[in-house]
Parts: sequence; structure tokens; C-alpha cells
Amino acid sequence: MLAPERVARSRIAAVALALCAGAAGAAAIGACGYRPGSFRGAAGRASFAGQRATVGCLDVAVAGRWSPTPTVAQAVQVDFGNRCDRPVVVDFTALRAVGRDDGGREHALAIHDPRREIHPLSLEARTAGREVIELRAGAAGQPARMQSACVDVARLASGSRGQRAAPRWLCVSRPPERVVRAEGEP
Amino acid sequence: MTMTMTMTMTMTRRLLAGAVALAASGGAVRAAHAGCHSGGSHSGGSHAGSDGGGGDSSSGSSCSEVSDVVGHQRCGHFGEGWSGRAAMPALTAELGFFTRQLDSGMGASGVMEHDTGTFAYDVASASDRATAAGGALRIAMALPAHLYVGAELEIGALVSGTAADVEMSASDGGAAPAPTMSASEKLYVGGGAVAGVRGQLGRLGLSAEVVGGARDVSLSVRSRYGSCVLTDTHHRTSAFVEPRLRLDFWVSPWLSVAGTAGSELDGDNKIVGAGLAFHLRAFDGGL
Repeated sequence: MLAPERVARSRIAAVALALCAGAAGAAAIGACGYRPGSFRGAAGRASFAGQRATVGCLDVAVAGRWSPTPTVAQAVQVDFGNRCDRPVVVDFTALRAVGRDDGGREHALAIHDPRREIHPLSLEARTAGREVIELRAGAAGQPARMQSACVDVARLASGSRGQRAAPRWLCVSRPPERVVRAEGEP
Repeated sequence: MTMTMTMTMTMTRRLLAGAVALAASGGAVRAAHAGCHSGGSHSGGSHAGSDGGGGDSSSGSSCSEVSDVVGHQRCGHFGEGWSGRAAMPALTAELGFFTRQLDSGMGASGVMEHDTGTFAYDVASASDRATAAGGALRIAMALPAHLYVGAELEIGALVSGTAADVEMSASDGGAAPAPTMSASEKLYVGGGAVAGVRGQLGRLGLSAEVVGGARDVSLSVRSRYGSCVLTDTHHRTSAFVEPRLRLDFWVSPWLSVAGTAGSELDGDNKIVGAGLAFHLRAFDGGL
């Protein structure tokens, strides 16, 4: 049976050991936060793809995903990082989008949300996220194929929604290659 | 107090497990690749405009993802992977050390029963003041309006003022030699609830808090008689209320270094401590 004094010492040693382990873990955790303006996810993550903008607490990038076949929809990848030290509400319902088809006609686009799952959500401070959304023309328009699309991300960071924020259009255009790849891919 | 300590330790285990999961997840960014993304990532333009919902069949309970496009996902959903953390409570687990002054005047008496007889003793501390040092564990939760509540546990030992005089007051051992008695080891255990208010200035946080709880100093008396060694343990438990000031420096969104100082209302029993605080929410959720 250990003497109480030895027990006390071993407990203190255990705490010291835990502190050392904590310090080591802290270094790892500390390196993982989103750095404002980096447009890059956590360690090991690639840079945000596509056009970039900063709106409020959010760094945002929009990249297109293109289908080689005629389509009435346009998928875009939206990367976003919280540059503030507090949570920020990311409101995809506040996005506006327009597209232009092969014939040069402009169409208002809306996010395809058949399950009505898109709603404003909080993004933790110094973290990043990604969503891929599909933009579709309204019922009136049936474009043969989308040539380009622009997304106004000015009100993506909630709080700027009620304000008259200047539009921040981020646009994607169909690349000329025959073999189409997603933007940002090597 | 035992119940408080048990609850504290249970919460600590859960929090530490959460912290491990936090680190294992790659830290701050899980991006939108959480869940079962590997089953069919959306590469190139193969998905735009397609239905995407009726492809592969899932096997068993595992879900096979078919797309990362909102509205076409089979397993995931909008917000998965990036919105979860903001919904967590702003919990903090802190490991640290402390040193505190406290009243040491511990008197105790008892009886040791050896084969040769019964020996009574009295113990008196040689000093009225003592210093305790050890490790501290603290769990706290940030609340709106810059408030926080929590619980803490201190385990250590008296590192000064430990000397104690042991006197045998009576015995019925007859002519038998008296045993050798000593009293030295004093363990310190304290714990209680904490409530405070914090102000934030950039990466610095200044808090005023009050800790209320109980502390226990235990004293072991040993009696050695030949090969026979007997030990008596005495406890002195007291309640305390301790206002403190606390300074936090945020090393990262999920880690802060804290220093604290305070004293009991009479100004006698002072504490100084420091620790590493792991936060489940970045900057405690801005609360």
C-alpha cells in the first residue's frame, strides 16, 4: 500500500503529465482554426476554389461544377470561412443568382431545395464549411445549357441581410475544354 | 462534496473525450465532407442537373452517399459538417496547478492499539499557517451575458507548515516501551462551485468570480512498534467562500491560458493558480 505522501506526489506528477500532454495537444488544436483571409480550410485542406470575396465575417469562394450534357441546372460549390471570433449565421436563403444560357438569355436562378432543408445556420468562429448547391432557372425558362452563372453573396453572412449591402457577385463560366472538370481540380 | 466531485469527474471524462474527438476531427474545419461522403463524391460535371437520388442501394445500416449536392444527398444534409459546433454548449475543461495558503492549525487525538497495549496521543501542528500545492481540474460553461458557472476540484498536499508534534498522553502499556509516533503527511482536497462574469478585450479575458465549497486536510499519524505499524488518518473539513480574479489569454480559438488569484473574505487564505483551458466552442461561442 502506498504511503499518502507518495500518493500525493504521484497525483501531482499525473497532473503535470496531463498538462504537458495538454500543451502538446493545444499546439495541434491551435493550428487548426480558420485563418481570416486565407481562403483555406483546416490543415491539409485545399484552398477555396473559384472566385473569392469577403462579406462581413465570411470569406467566401464560389466555383462551378459543369455537366458536359445539356442541363437546366447549374451546380456551384460554395466554400466559406468565419474570420471573426464569434459565430456567424450563414444564410443560403439570402443568396441571389442569375445565369446565362448558350443563347445569351439571362435567367434568374433559384437554389434547388426539394427537401426544404436549407435554412440559416450558425458557423462557429474560425471554422469553415462547404456546400454544393444546384441552381435552377424558374419554371418559365428552359435554357438548353447554362453558359455562366453569377451568385450574389453579399447577404450570405446574416446580419447583413437586413442592410442594403452592396451586391457581391461571384461568377463562374463554363470552361472551354471539351473534357470538363470542376474548377479547382488539378 | 463527494457527490460534487464525482459529478465533476464524470463531466471531465466526457469533456476530455470530446476534446480528443475535437482534435481527432482535424480541428476547426470538417468542411462539408463529413458523414458518408466517400461513397460517391461529386467530381466534375457529372452531377449537375441530374436527379442523383435513386442510384446505388445502401447495404445494411451503412449509408452509401451518392452526391454532395444539396437536395441530391442520400445520407447527408445541408449544414452537416460545419454547423454542428455552433450548437454545442460552451463548455471548458481546465487543467492546472495551484498554491494556496490556509490555516494549518490541526489538532487531533486518537488511540493506537498495539499488542503490548493501548497508547493515546495528541497531535498539534507546529505552525498556524500552511501552504498547499497541487493540481486543479475545472469544468465551466459560458452563459449569455458574459456569465459562467462551473465546478472545480483541487488535489494536492501541504508543502510547508506540515510539521506536527505528537505527544503520547496516556497509555496502558505498563512497562512496555512506547511506540514511535510521527505525523507528517497532509493531503489537501478541495472543491466547489464557481460562478463569475467575464469581460473580453481582444484575446484577453478578465473575470471576477466567486468559488464556494469545502476543503479537507488530512493528517496521517503513524505508530511504529517493532514490525507493527499502525496508521490513523484525521480530517479537518471546512467550508469556504473565495472571491477571485482571473485572467485568460486565448492562445487559439479553443485554448486559453489562465491565471487566477484570490483570497477568502477574511483576506488570510490566498490562492494563486494557473492552467490550460480547453474550450469546446471557439472563444466560448462569443458568449
